[in-house]
Amino acid sequence: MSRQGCPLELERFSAGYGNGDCVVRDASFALRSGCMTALVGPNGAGKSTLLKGALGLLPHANTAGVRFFGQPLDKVRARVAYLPQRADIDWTFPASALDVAAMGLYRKIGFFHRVRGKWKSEARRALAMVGMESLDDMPIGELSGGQQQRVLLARSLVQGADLLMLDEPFVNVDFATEERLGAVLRDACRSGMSVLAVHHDLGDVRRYFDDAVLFDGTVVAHGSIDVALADANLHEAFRLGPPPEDSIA
Amino acid sequence: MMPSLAVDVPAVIALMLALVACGTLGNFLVLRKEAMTADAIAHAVLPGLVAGFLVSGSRSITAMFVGAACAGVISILLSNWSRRATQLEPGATLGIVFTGLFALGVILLETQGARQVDLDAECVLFGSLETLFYVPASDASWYEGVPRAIWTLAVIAFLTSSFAVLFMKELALLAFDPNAARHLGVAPRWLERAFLVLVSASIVASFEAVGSVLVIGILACPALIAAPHARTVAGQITLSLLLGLALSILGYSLAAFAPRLFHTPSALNSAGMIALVLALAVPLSHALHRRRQRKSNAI
Repeated sequence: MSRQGCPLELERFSAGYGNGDCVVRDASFALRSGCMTALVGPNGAGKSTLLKGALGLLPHANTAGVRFFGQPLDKVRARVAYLPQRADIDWTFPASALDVAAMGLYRKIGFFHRVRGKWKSEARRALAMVGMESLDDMPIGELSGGQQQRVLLARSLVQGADLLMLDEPFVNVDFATEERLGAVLRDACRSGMSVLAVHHDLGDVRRYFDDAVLFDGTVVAHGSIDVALADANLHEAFRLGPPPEDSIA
Repeated sequence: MMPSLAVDVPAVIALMLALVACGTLGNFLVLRKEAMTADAIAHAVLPGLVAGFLVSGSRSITAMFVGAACAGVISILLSNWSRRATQLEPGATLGIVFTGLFALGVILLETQGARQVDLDAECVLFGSLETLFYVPASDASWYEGVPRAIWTLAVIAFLTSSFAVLFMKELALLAFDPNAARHLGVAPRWLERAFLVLVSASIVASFEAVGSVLVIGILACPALIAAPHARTVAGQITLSLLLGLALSILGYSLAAFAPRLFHTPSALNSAGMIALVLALAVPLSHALHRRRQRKSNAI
């Protein structure tokens, strides 16, 4: 499958919540195709706002400078998958793991059609990719936090998208789950998919990601991990004061 | 006292239809954590109802329906606008809008509607279940004796249940994860608007028969009663309608047999008693669920 074109390109992108304050200001960067890119920055920097704004999920975002695979989102919506923060989801909702995974197929299934056998098989395959095939009938409220996160990832994977935009996929999951999710995402990237994920832990960013966007309301640095997360950039983004002289050297 | 075919059956049919119309969509409001919206619309349509009545000079269902639907849409637009303008939480803006519109409705009702004989505050609050008689004329077809409110409710119940069945998965995703629904493009604006218009229509159609107090009750309570016990959205809707119907008939019977059961001088208001039974069943249902969970955890 051809997955040519820059998966996501932002040009002077701004977004906010309509109270006059711009949470994201003049953000510009372009993702490398087939790579895992971490969106890192301090708490409240606007990382989730950037994701939601670029996807047109905020009423106060200027998406004129946002291009997915060189086109506006509406033309390539099926090629972009979004995984929200686990805390944004109501886990008391009456649905099983299979029901939630199948939600990623609703666009393909279309209006007026039910989720029948063929679609359920696809959803089960996605659950198997994240190691959740044995729990497909389990109500989502009875799953652990890590299992819930895996179900959400299955929902994103089943779309067959070329770009995954993930909001804190590794938060509040145990080490084994994090490893599993990381491996699934790496495999997806090897097959040509691109990933942009909000990530908090600077300590393990190198283990999973190829590139990073260091973000603090606007793009502080972008590029390979070593370039983007250089000490000088981290000090600027996290407002730690000037870095020690030897690290600049 | 035996149930009467001419008096009790029309009332129970009207209850059942109102329950299907409001209760089906009420499940999605509860799943969206927007049960308050039902309350808000139920209050906010009042000035529209009165305005429709004043303009047409009669209880013409078309005029009142148009007036109430306009008021419902205005309340949603006002609420969305004030949310954006003030950055207050959605519940707070709804509270401001619906109390304002309801107050306007009461003022209109008392200053304008009180002059008319068949639109009064008590009728709006408690409906007219007790006056839904089946009176067939000797020289007319059987259906001409069926109260008009039942026909209206039947049409709305058919529309809302068809809407829910046709768009079940989209409405469920919109409730579970609205951002994903919008991103996937399965929840276009017309679907959300159609949902709110149908909620308004169900409320308006149910107003005449069951009154505003019970409308709010049947929108939210059956869904809240069923929610802890359901594993699927369709299952929750089915369970809520079955339990809602059983509890409504229980409330209706308690009101009718009140002189014998509670030694009251006359039968109690049906809509009020049904609303009370439904409201009491909500905490009871949740307590039963918690007890069952404790037992399964102990095992």
